[in-house]
Amino acid sequence: MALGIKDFLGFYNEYKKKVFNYILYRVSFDRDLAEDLTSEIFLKSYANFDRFDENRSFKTWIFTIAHNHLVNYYASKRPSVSLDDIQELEAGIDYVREIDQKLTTARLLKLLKTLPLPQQEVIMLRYVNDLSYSEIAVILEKDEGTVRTALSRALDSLRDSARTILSSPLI
Amino acid sequence: MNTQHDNFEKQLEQLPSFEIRKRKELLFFAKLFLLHFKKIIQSSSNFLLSLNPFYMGRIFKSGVVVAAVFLVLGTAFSYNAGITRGHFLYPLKRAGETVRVMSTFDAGQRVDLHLDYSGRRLDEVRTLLNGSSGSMFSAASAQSETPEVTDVTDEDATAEDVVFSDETVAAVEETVSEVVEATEDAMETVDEDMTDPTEVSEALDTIEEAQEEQLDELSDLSEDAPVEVTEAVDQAVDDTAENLGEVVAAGEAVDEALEEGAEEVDVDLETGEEDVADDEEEEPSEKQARAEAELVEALATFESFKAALEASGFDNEKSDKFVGKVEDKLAAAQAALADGNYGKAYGMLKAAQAHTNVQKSFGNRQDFVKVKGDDSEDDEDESVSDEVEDETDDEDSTEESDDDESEDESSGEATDEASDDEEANDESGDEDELTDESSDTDDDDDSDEVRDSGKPAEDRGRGNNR
Repeated sequence: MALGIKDFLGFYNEYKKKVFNYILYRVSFDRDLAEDLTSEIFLKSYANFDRFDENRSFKTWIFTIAHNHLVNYYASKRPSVSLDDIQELEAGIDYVREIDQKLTTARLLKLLKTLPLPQQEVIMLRYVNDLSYSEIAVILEKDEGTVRTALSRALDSLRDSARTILSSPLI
Repeated sequence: MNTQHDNFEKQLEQLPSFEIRKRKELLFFAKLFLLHFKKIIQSSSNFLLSLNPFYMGRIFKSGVVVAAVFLVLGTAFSYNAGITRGHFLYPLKRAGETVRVMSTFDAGQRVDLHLDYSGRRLDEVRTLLNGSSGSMFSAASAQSETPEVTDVTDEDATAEDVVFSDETVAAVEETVSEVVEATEDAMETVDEDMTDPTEVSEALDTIEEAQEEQLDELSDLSEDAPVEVTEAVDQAVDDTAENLGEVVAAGEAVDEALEEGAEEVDVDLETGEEDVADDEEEEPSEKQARAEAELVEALATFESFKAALEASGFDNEKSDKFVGKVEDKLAAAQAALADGNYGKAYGMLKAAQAHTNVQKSFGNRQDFVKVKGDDSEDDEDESVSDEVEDETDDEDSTEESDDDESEDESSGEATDEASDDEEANDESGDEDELTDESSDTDDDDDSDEVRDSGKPAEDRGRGNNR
């Protein structure tokens, strides 16, 4: 039996938070933007829901759409965006402050922003979205070994950044 | 290096996660359902429009759009029993149901729809009483829009501690009456739109089955529901019973018409009579005779039951009310029987039985069964206990233990039954003790307590101690 709107709503309820957080961390905590992009991602997925193979994982399918959507968004809307954009960075940290998070979270976010975009993404997928290596591999269309290596390198980079940045007061 | 990795991993795992704001989510739902609607229209409009070029006009298109929006949104929301009267999406849910009925051309399917909606109303009543409304959006958003149930936060709080707001009571009352109305809509559909004897017979059977189930569920509800809504639930039991009577009578007549080879029937469900072209005086069928026998037996059983109640010293307002209700129903059944209206008699009998089920809430079964041990009441009590045994499976063990207990007492042995039964056994050893305890029950008995129990009084006592 083909999947219908009811099934889709079930998936939506299960994954909306994960997708939203994936986007939120990737757009420097611009909440409005993250909510709009999340909405677009789910609408796009429903528009193509007929093509979804129910034998596959909806999680990897929706994150693949989210990843591609974000790539397209950056490519079309913000081609000149800098990863080290101070304003974005401060906005992100301010946001975290507002919601009364620990200082370490703010420091960690600042460190993360120093990493290249692909490394940030693999870290977010692994730790914020709690995806497995194999799921990340499907989403990023890479093999599992590459993902493991990329993640290890990302953590190394994080450590290197910590050496240079964490020693001085950031906030 | 690994330690540093671990440290970072721990910190990364603790990164906070956030929720989408409700208003943004609602906006998403609006867009999603528009998209859904667009997909449906895209797949069906070409076919519809190609059939009838006349309908290319704007008015038709607008009408289709509006109806389809209600149908799609209403259908989607209708799956959710958490959307109850008072919820902001409830009108949409009901509008979806109406559109669906209006767009269903087969009368048999419409009957099924009405019965389905009757079931939904019952689910909504339960949701309202449980105070567990939710929506497909989220529990929080739904609860903010649904009539509230103010619950006492005490862990030991019982059902009687739950305070229902006026809004909730009103919503329950209205929804309960709609349970009956939905089945009446099904009856009306048969009445007005069906003439084929086979179809009518099948539809009436379906309605009868649904009403039987509805009677059971409503009587269960009457047992568990708070005192504020009892009247409405009891009224629904009575109305359903009366309707059931009409349906049974009409079903009998249609079956006979079928046997006589009638090609068309015109059912009048208001009176339970049915006009067939060659209508004749009917002989009571086997089913009717059986209904008559059942009624006679029920009357005898009830008399025994009343006697047992009196003998147990259970003399309070609650028992009088119950006895009065059953008496009224049985009298109505008797009158219907005398008039030859077997369907109504059957319905009234069902209502009496439904009230008897409600009697479970007295919590005095031990008192009643105890009288069974008295030689003078032996025969009568047995018939009553048989009836009660039929009604509730879960109470079978109590019945059996009492039987066992009579034997055990004669041999001077203590039984090793479950604790409930032990207490019942303790009580049943002495008639004077029984009367005292019954008096105690009377003293403590207020309507709330009786309503809340649904189980033996001693069970409630233990619950309170906890």
